[in-house]
Amino acid sequence: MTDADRPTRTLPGPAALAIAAVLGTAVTFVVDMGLLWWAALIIGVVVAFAFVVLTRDMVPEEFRAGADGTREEGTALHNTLVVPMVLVLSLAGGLLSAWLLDLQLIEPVAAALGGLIGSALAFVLFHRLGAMLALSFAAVLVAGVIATGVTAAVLFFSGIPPTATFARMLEYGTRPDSMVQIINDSTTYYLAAVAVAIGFKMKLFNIGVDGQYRLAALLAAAVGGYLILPPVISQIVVIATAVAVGGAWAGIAGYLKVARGVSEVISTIMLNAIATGITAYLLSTDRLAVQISTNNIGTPPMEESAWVPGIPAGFLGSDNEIFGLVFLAAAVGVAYSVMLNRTRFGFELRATGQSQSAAEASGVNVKKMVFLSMLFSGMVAGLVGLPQLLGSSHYYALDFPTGIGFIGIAIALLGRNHPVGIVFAALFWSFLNQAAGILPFDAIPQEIAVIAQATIVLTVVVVYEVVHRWGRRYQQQQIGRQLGGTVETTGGGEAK
Amino acid sequence: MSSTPSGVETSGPPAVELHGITKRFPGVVANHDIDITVAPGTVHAIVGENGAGKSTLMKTLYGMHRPDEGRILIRGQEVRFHSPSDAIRHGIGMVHQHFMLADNLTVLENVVLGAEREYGIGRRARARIQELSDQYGLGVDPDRLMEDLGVGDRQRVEILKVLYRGAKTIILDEPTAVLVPQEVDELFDNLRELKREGLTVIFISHKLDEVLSVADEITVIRRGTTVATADPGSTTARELATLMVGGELPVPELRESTVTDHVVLSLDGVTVAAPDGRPVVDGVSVDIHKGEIVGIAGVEGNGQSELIAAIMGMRPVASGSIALEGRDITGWSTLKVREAGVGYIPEDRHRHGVLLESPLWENRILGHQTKAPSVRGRWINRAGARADSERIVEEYDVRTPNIDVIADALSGGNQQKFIIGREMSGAPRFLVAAHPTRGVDVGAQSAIWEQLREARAAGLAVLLVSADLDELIGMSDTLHVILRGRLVAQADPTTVTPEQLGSAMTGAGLHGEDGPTEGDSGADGADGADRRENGGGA
Amino acid sequence: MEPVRRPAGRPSGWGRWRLLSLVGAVFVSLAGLRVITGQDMLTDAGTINTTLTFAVPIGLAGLGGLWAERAGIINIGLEGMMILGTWFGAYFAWAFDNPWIGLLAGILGGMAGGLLHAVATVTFAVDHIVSGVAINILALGAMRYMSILLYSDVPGAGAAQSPTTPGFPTLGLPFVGEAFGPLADRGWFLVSDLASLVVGLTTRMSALTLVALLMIPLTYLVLWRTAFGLRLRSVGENPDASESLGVRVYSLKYVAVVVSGGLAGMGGVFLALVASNIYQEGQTGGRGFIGLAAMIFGNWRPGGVAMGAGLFGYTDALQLRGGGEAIHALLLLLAAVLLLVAVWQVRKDRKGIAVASVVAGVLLLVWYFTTDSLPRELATYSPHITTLLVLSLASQRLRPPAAIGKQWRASRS
Repeated sequence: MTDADRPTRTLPGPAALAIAAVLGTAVTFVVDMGLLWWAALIIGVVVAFAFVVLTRDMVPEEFRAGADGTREEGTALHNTLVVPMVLVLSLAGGLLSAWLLDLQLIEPVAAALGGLIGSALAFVLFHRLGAMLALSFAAVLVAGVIATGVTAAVLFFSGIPPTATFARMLEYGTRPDSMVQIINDSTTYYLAAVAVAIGFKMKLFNIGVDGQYRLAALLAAAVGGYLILPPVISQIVVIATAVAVGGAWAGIAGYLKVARGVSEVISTIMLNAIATGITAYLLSTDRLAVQISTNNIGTPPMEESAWVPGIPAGFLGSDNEIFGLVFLAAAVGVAYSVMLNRTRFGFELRATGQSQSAAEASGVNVKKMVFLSMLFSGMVAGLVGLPQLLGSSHYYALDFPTGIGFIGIAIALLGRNHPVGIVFAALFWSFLNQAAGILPFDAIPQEIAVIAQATIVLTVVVVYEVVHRWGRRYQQQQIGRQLGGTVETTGGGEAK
Repeated sequence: MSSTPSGVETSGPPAVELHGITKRFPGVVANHDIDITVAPGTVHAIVGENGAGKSTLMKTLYGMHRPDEGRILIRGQEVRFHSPSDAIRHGIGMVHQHFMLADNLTVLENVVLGAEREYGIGRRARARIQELSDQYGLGVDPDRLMEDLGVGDRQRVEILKVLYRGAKTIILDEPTAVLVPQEVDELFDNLRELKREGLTVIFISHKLDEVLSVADEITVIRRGTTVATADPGSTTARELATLMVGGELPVPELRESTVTDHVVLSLDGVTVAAPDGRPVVDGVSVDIHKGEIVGIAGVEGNGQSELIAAIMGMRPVASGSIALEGRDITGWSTLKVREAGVGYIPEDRHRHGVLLESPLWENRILGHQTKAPSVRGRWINRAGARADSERIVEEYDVRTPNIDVIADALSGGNQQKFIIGREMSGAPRFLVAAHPTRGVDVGAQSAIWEQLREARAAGLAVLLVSADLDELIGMSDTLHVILRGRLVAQADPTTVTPEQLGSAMTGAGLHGEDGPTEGDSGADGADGADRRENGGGA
Repeated sequence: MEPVRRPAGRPSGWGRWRLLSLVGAVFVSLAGLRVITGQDMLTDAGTINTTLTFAVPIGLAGLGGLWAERAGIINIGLEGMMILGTWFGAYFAWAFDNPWIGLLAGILGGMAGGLLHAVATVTFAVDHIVSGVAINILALGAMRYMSILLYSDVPGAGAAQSPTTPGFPTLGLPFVGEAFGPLADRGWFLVSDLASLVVGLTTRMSALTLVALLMIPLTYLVLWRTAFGLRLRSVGENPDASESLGVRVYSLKYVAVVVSGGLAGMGGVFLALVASNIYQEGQTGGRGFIGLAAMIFGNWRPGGVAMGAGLFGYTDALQLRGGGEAIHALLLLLAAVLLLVAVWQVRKDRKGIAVASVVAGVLLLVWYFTTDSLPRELATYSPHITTLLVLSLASQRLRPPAAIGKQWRASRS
């Protein structure tokens, strides 16, 4: 079908968006008086969505474009995949924002605003969401369903009622204090995942984030504890130390890879173990540590002027504080995104990741790229321990959290190395951790969260691979059809 | 060449019959309504241009994929192949265009793989290989490591693999693409030997004169379907070409000379060493002038790739120097060389030329990531790169819906046209073109040749490396022969024949024993020795 | 020890000769080092015995890696498969009070991990390292979950450990200890060391150690001497070629990865039932990864894997038996080796490496003469440091299977 079939009236894009938004908001607001807020919101967004679908042919061309520019609206794929995905996403967006706003505003207003956001999403996504991106969302959705199923099965066969367990986790995980904890954990995880993702983007596996951040945190804590510096300068010095140590430790693996051809997978794993040895060696009262409590030793606690103040989380209804360094994580995320997509360095990084040989033939200094990306990865890894160090514990002791590097790998995989994807992955991961914290009180092993996490990583990876391959074939098919070719692609093309 | 049509006339059902074969891939119909009948004990050629669907058809016949429609009959009996082992069981063997050999295994291991039941993997297998090798005159040593063998030997191992399995019908997919004329003759002798032993050979090619000399019958494929069957005794190459592409084949040729005195690139005693210290490029000296195309002929693996890599700064130069416009660029990085105005069409575009999973406009940046319009300082200029990609698509006739599709979605010819457009942008002074028309269809082929001609007329200096001797002879102003890393001969492209070139490429000198004598006048420049300074074209 | 078959392009038997002479040279220099430094633990029978105990799990993991990688699949999930082996081995050995049932269960547990890896990497063509990392995470969490479920009411056991388990019977040649023991105690150069070696290798050996040692020649025979082995290796070198000859590439990859998991599982059982007599969380301590390093060090060959595992096992054992002082003595040896390397590189006209080696060697010498012992915390990680050093010296000379790590798909669509 084409536009030529229905040359009726046209509706300017902004106007259509405004109508959809007003419609959705109004319906939500009205229905909210009679029904529960979430039911009202669902009805409102669905109405707006229906309006968008009905008026789709009146909206001018330039407002619609798939991610790859091919005309997608009206194709089978668009109808069967993108449209339902748009509905799901706009509903989720509306519900989530309404629920968040509800913590601050009175219920009807929150619901109406949620309706507004949901309706706007429905319009924008319907016309702009590319099939390939929708496929990615669908992949994550499918993986989530599978992982939930597996987890439920594990619970069921352990003699634990799955639904009750999930409900309990959901309730506990959304308590205000839990949410603060989730945000704080995510901050740390996000940094770790970005560190890993920098390497992943060029097929470099920095398994050593774990050792890098522990060593960096220890030395940064020692610097902060022993050197008494004026505020601001102190924080900068501590952060700089962490970045330098993390970079240097990862740089060893980078150097070995470039100069001696040692696989970074093995070398970073070995460096992790060696880092454990060095921290154990340094963290003794003969060297860097002092007695913290009767059965704990650590670096001397930092002066209060060296701390990074937290953000009061009153708006979430909690008395706890959010790490001030959440802004550092956000800045790192933005920098990562800009670096990747807008800079020459990022282009060369991605090119090297896709095809080392092509990058080399194009004048990319692959060895330099390997070394630099390992270095940058390590520098970001150095930051991982800082939110905890500067925002909460203020010293590095025996009980400093370990294993975050490995969580970072999982989150990077879950978020597909995408700067925004990782945000959601980190939040989801810490939600599971936090929500499972209630389970021991019901005599349920809280490790079910780990099983759920590992399962979802595996399923996301598998489903994404399948979907990606399918999407590529679909795209080739579309192009073949558009060009009307009846010839094979290339001599060796089908061998892949 | 004398070839008696159908040497041994064996009666009985056809060796292979294909009826109404149709095979679809996502977005393309690779084959449709194919009908071929192959008589037993004959050499049956299947010709068609690159991309016409020959390879797909043979993979269907070899069980590597199943046809969507149609029937396959082997010796009158209908069969259904689910895998190559089914085809092998029915006496069909295949020598692939890209050799299917494991480098780190021995000849013996490569041959017996998958057929261990026949003679085990030890002494008996070795004896059998020796026996077959002697019987068909293949000269294969079972205990050598595969990676030590050259192209011709590898092909003989592939043929041996097929014979070892007791194949009655042998498919050879573009077997001559990497061989020099003399090796082609040897191969054809081998094929006639096979025919004498009662085997059937299906020979796939797009080189018409070869087909005419060896085949007993010819089937022409065009745009995925069989269009005609011809008798080589009563058909001419011109008629075949008309059947194959619906017109004449494009001819690689240069018009008037545009060569000037101005030297653009000068190689002086360039030597490149292998990791073990052995020279793979040995004292190569040549000057390439403005408006000149210098061709390098050589059997693959004689140092062409290494020479190109050295010019492009991808391999260190052990001794000698490279100068661009009088400036010494020896030891420069690839990036610096490219920035100085050198374009590069790599021989393996998938490995070196494109990012298959990236959109076209990002591929525009590749290799030009420091030059406008792709970048602005350290930042990527999306708008600039996109606009220039549109220009390339337009000017170089790249068939694509838009510039946001990934490179992998385009056909080989269109990828190649895009690469050439990219490498021509920014007005390069010098272009390295390695196998620029390999694996592309005739349309793209003639377009690429035309672009090279235009660039040459505009003053570009080009180094052309190709395995296609017709292309080399037709498109070069000056022609050198490389053998074991040394330039051993210089030929005049206006008079030299492929046979003479082939004999020089294998080390027999330009006056090969089977070379016609009238070649004398042209090939005077080099009596097989390396006592030459530069290729003074003008 | 098992012979390595002719590496690329060399006459047959050359590799075997080289391997044996290398092992001999190492042993002689250790004996010399013992005499010079007076560190008797360097070649003590107990050290040899402990070396075996430490080397076996690494070697089994290495062989597991060998099987998978020879078929082209990188198996970084070995660690997780070992964890499965330790848990299942301990649980079933305890539940049935029979170590052999534990062994079977542990192998099956490892195989299950291998199967999961095969499904992800072969059927779905997921990146091998990604899948391996996920399996490691999964194994850790799942086994803790199982422990909490199954050990909650068992006294002495809990989330992090099992009850004590029955052990395997020990074997030993009679009279050897009596015959060679006194000789070993004399302290004669080389003679006593050889006597210790004999005693260490022939007494108090667990039955599982013997089984594990047999896996080395078995792997060699299966992979290099049978049609099945040829097919499996061809899949790791050029799967397209194998496919074109009717070899069932997917099935072979599955078999290879599942066997790989089984071997890692056996290594796990060894850790739980032989090296200690209990399952503990974190018991594997990265041995799966070190096994992988041993495999790379051994150039993807069984004999080489055995040698690599022996090296790592030895540093581990020495550290445990002789402490920081014994490892400290090794510094001297290392310095000597580095100086030899320097001489070698000068002859090969590679000045940069030579200078670096000299500097490192001299630094080590200074370190050796200015200290008496290596800090305990660092000595613990000497195997890891050794791994890094060895790989950085040897990586370029190695020949991995050509198609390793490829996300291969069958051409049929």
